[in-house]
Amino acid sequence: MRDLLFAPITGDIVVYLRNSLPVAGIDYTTDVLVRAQLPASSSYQERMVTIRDDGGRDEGPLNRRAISVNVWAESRGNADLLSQYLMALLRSMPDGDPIVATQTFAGPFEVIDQNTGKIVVGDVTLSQYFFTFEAVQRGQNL
Amino acid sequence: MARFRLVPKRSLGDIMTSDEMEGVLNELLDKVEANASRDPNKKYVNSFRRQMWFSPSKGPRVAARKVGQFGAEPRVGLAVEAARGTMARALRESI
Repeated sequence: MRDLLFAPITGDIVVYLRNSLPVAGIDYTTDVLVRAQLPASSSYQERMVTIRDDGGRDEGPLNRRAISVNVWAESRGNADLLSQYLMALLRSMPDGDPIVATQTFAGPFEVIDQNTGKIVVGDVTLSQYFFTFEAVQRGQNL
Repeated sequence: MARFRLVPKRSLGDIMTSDEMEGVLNELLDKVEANASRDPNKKYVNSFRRQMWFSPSKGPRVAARKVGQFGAEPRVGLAVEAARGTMARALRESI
């Protein structure tokens, strides 16, 4: 029997995006807050991204994890562009340690349910986009 | 020397379009529905809809099959999925 550990990968994805986004130097990729959860409402920014792990499934030494990404920005256009840029970054993320593949991207979709609480920063009501993908993770030997 | 060969008892097309296959799909959809029904948003849960249909074969490959689909009203479904990932989790738990 193999003792395999599948460590949480949310932190790896957050750190990767935090490091990669400013490098682009594009307007809509600057000043983006990337976290696993939204901060307290007093710390909201106009551009925010949250990474959520919706669970995985074992396949031998690999684990296929469903990852959800929420994106908020000051306009629909920038939220859409930022989502597309994040998807591009995440497609090129796998380095084998521990994520070996990112695949099955779905979205981005605009979240337009009127019953959901909208986030307002200053006098700007933020637009929300959402996409999902599958991150294939390599297990570590215990 | 004995010779062996595989003798198919039923064609794949027959299996894929059978009532047994519909039963398997329904069992799967039951599990997904039960897991997704735990979501606190009642409007979302009340909008669940299940469909089962027969997809005919078009062309030389045998593609005829029973297809099952389960989902919620798109607008509220997307908001719930963005907030909690209910359906993604239900699928992970059920399959």
